[in-house]
Amino acid sequence: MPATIDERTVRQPGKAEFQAWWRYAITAIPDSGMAEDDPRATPDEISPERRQLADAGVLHLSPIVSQLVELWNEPEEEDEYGRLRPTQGAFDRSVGLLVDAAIEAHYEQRAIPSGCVSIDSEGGVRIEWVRPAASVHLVVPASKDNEAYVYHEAGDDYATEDVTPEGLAYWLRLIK
Amino acid sequence: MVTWKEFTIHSVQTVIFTPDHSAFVGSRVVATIVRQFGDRFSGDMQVLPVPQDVPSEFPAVVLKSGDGSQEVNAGRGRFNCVWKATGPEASVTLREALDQCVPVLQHYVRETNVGVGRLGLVVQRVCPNDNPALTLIRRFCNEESQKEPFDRSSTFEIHNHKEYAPVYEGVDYRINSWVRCQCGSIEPETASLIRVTQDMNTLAAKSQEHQFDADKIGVFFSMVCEETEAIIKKYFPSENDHASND
Repeated sequence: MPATIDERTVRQPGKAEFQAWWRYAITAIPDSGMAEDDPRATPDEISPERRQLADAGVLHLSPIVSQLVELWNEPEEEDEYGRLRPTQGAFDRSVGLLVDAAIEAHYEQRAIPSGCVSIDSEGGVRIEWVRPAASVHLVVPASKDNEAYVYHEAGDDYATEDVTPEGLAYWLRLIK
Repeated sequence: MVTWKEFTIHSVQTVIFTPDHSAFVGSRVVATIVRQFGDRFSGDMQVLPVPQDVPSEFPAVVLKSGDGSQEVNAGRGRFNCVWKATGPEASVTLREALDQCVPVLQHYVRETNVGVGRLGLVVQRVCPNDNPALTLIRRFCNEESQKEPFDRSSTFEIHNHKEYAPVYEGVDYRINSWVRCQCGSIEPETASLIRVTQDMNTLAAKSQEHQFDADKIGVFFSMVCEETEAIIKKYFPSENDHASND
């Protein structure tokens, strides 16, 4: 509750302090210090560039994650085509890959483009980014025993490889 | 005189401290939360890699509800679930807000098996008031002090801390209780108001001794819910409170 840190309080970092550390987190450049969260003092100026970095995050992921959540909310039963919802492993790995790929893309000031989420009959997850000039397909199998992979196609160039966040972010550069 | 009945809940912050969460991975936290509460936290999302030398309490993950009224923010050393009023019409009881937040904390603890050494609740209540300084001075200062030195105060606040052992089943530890009554205004409202912040938390010095599992977390928040409600009534009693006490 006081402006200074007191271990007897549950202190919430102030906005300026919060954003200063976000910037630090992104750039890994030591900051000169924390801004005091005292309304009687003039807060440190947060530059637009710093604010942009602090606010960037992976906001654009929400629509894809929402599609995944929608599938996750399907009943656990199967129909004639197989499972209706992804397995927990596939769901967790898909979200993890998307988030980590978004962080990688963010370093290059890119965003993960909007894609289409579906599942296979065993509960694996498939996320597809299809455009006229190129397409990228992320396939996360239902079982953890099977490797997830990414397939890309652009003109005559196509290939499949085991997926990493860096690799997924790299191939999603094809998607405009 | 202002009474506790005139206050509305402005924000409720529930906190667990996870000092040994070296296995924290932001993307896994996102998956863990959205798997269970994806419909609720469908708003803005932020996840960033946080270097190890950044203080562990700083969040690497921020998830928000579509209307902005609820938020999860999580770092290596701390996990918060917050409810905020999004407008004057958004009115909840403390119990209702906790019923939204506490299951998120419990789910996180159950799914990650993370050790929790300390817990906290910060509640902010507001009450519109034309002259908050004068109201607070009249409530908390004797007549002599009201004349001098608090006769022309523009703003005024009282800040009180107690450490005590609550009498509550399943609670065998001491807690800190802070109450701060202030003058102010809260955006986007510009009208003056009295703001009361209550901060209830377990002792930092005992965080290595405590191990709060999901059930104990539930007990703590039930206990502090009752405590905070009882405390606000002591600071701003109503006539009916006195009558019923008699």
